[in-house]
Amino acid sequence: MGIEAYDVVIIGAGPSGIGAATVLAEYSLKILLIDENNQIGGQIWRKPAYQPVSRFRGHQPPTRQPMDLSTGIGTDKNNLHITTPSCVLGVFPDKHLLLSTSDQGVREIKARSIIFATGAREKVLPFKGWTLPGVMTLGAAQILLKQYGVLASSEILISGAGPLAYLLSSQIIGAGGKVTTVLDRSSLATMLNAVWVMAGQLPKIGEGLLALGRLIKKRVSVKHRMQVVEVKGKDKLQEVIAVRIASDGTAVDGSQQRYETQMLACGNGFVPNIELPQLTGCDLIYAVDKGGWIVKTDRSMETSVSGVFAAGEITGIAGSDKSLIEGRLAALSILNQFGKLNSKKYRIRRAALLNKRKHCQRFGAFLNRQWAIHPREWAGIDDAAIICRCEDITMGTIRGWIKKGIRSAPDLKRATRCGMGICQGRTCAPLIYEILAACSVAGKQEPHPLSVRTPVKPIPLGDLARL
Amino acid sequence: MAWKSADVVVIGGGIIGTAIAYFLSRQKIDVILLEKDGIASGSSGACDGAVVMQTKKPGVHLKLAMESHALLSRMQDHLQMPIEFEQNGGLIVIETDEEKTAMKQFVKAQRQAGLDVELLDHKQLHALAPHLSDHLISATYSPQDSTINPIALTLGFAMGAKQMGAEIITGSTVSNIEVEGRQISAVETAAGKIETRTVVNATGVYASEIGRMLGIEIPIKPRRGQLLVTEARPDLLKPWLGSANYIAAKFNPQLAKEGAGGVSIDQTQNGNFLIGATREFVGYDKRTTTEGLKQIASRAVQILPVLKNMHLIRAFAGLRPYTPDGLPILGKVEKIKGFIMAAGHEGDGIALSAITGKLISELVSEGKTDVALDSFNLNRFSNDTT
Repeated sequence: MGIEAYDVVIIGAGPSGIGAATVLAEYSLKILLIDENNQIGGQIWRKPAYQPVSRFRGHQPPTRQPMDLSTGIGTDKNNLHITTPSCVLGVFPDKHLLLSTSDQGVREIKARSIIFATGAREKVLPFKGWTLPGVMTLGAAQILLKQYGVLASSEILISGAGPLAYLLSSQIIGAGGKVTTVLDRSSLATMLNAVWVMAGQLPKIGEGLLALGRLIKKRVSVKHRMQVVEVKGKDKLQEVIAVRIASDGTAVDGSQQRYETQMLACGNGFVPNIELPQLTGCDLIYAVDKGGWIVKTDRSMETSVSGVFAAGEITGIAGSDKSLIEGRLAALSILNQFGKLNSKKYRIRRAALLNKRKHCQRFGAFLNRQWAIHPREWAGIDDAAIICRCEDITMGTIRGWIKKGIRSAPDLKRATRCGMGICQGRTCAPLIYEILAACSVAGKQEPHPLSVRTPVKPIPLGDLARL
Repeated sequence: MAWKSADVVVIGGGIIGTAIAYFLSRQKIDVILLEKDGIASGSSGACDGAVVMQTKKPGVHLKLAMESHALLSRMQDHLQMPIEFEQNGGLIVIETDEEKTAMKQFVKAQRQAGLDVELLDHKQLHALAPHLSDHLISATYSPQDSTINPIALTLGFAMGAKQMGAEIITGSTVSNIEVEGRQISAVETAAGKIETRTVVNATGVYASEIGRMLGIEIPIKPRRGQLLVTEARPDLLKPWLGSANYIAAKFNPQLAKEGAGGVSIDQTQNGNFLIGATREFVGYDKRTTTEGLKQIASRAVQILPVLKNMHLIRAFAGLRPYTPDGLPILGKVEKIKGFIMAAGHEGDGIALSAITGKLISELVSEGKTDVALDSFNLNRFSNDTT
């Protein structure tokens, strides 16, 4: 098959990808919007895959979500091509991409400009037994509910910090499920502080109040500063053990609590999906207050690679509002580069968006602080806790190598196979960066990201051979 | 004021440098190893683990490989790191009658050199490796061929050397080598000067850069090899496998062009398949290419059709230190006293690591080696370069 050429290829159809596509689609440009899910919209605008027929009432999308954006897009624009579920396997020199599609196998495409809008994934603070069936992430529980109208279990224990823990609890209650307890890693004071940070963002406060209202009405017990340290069960989850974490990151003596449950949903913030930009050679920055490794961009959202843009969570975790703005910013910059938008108009529109973005970034910094893991908490993780789930590498093994003098993530990978498995370190790499920073007493080195290899997601060898 | 001093400074923390540091420390020689990045962060961390005898030129090349194999087969007794040495045999699969004729000659020469190798017929081949494609008419087989985990071996050598007293300094780039008269006197790094009278250049594809510091031309060029890794599966292929045009690609570029492209396939102890490799001159570019991936994938599924439905989990490329005659450059450099070469192994670095380490440590401690290194000396290229 020949190489298909596009003016702009947008990778990821969440808020930033859709934001970019809606701006670009107004102009005579050939655009390709790619998403690995069946439907566009990303996690935040995820829609039911079909009409729910279960006994649950199903998920009611909050009214402020611009659903029209994700449903209206592409219907009357013949220059915008959407391919789902499709996955970019690799980015090669001269903006060549390998795309794995569900209907046409592996395709080779070429772009004049690329926008990476690859979003974020969840991060979990590991604990002993977290690979047991019955333990899932907050986002996974939310996908089950939003997309398939299914409750993960009739009763569920929620553990985590930040808005998603409360939002999910509220959604579960709304769908007729039962949340037994919410274990919130952050303090009550932090939560109250959120109101100040979100001042001027009334819809967010409204959402939060709605969620809290539901929890109070159902008398869901909310415990602050509690962290799961171990889960137990024969073949599947039966018991969750949590402790209270003091402000210095240590466990409070005698604070241990046990909860009997069959389902635990846990999560502790998000990590940017930087793999494709990294593979493209875009410069990265390590910024703990932005979610770890992020893609470096200028004010036009262009990365260090000319003609390659990054928008949304990959430039710093801050939620969907910032993503939408940055998607639009990237699109405007491309229009300007292509000579479709004159510099004066571009500057005016860009200034307005950049101004709005500031507020979102402040909210993002607050979120990331809330999810921050104290170095002493890493010291408290049991030796038996698995860190790399693909290769079964435990915290104890990693500690052993740090004691032997290993200081960088790539060195740790070579010594232990941590991050060498099928997910290429998507789960363990963000943990390793923090473990190395927290557990290395002396000789601290500049952080170094693990390398990323093509294909970023596995594909059958036969598909590649047929190309 | 010197920062440090040592009897020997080994430059390069890849498979060759660490093996040399290991064997030197075993002889109680005071050694410092300098690595600009991390141990096994270059070619030794981006290669396969073939310790294969059949791919070596009959003669001194094969002789070294067999001695190295013998050392590696016992190495686990001395190293703490599990190095996954496995002697599962090796197959060179044959697809055409022309290849069969050529391989017959090759086998004859190898047998004369003392290698246990035989030509299998169609039935014998498919009994040994039942998942192979039926179109493979024959194969050569040697029970001596083995594999090892290259990263683990490199780390094992480095840790072993450290335990015996070697100092290993990573993240340290050599900026200059000082010479007094014609004798090496010190190595300069950003952290300071290290006094020494002996320097071993084990920098693989970067060997020519070190040579330039001393005004010596070293004809080593990077040659890119792209490799594919699949998901892990239970045993499907026991021996290491190479195609006959893999041999051709190695020793006869013209013949390789006419064939369907060389390929090697190995199922590692972990269960992953490691499939290689391209051989390309593209400077120091370590990226993978769509052409490279396509070429390797299509050849691999031709030979081992079960791979078709297995997932590729990553592709990567490493730079092999190529020399014009396919042999490494080993031994003293005439022009500068105390300057020793140990680089240019191309795809044989892992297989030849132990013998290289042993020979270079002999050369340092005794001034001579058991095996004559004349045919590996840098001066064999002097006619070409002047």
